[in-house]
Amino acid sequence: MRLREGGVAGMRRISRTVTVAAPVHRVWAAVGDERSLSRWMGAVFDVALRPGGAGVATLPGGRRLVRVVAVEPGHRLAFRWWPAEDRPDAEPPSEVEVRLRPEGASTQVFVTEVVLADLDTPSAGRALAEAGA
Amino acid sequence: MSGRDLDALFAALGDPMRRQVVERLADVGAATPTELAVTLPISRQAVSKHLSSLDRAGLVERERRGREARYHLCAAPLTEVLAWCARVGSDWDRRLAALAALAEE
Repeated sequence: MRLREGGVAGMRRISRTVTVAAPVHRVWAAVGDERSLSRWMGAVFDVALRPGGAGVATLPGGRRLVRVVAVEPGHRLAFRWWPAEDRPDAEPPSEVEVRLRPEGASTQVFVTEVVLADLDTPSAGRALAEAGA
Repeated sequence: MSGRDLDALFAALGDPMRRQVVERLADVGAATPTELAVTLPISRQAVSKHLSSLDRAGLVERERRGREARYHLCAAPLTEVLAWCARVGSDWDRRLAALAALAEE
């Protein structure tokens, strides 16, 4: 049986890199503000974008609880999210990181989404919610 | 989505050693805990424990033949995990295209 490149660990981490033809401050304006973030994420973010900020993201497939991990203006946004409803087909909780790096007049954008689910923290989503992670 | 619990599948794959067990089974097809323990830095008992976790999550199947059970991977749940990865990946492709369009406006 053929597993994904990077083995099973590679199945828990999704990464993308793109170059945007706009300076960092313009890209950050679209990332670090909840209304702009909602415009390109395909999800309505009802959460204050500051470290520890908690709220809800409404996606076409359902609602997710969001906890902001880090906000470094012009550089990095990181948050954790997990399904708001405990359903039998629940998707795993994950941590998203969006990093920006200037490249001349353009900006490199790096995104990673890492699955956080682990048997040592059963019902990971609820555990995260309770721990205020 | 077929209703399989992705969270539970990912949780079972959350441990690095358990992932190595899965990768080893992917390479060799089927193996007993003793055979797996020879190539991994853990005891046969520890291998068995990981296999039990993987079994509960539906990721492996055991067949008793001779003195020791043999385990092999179940393709369906892994295919489901890969499909999730592909879906999340294409979500990000779409989002990053939208981000570029917004910032380049």
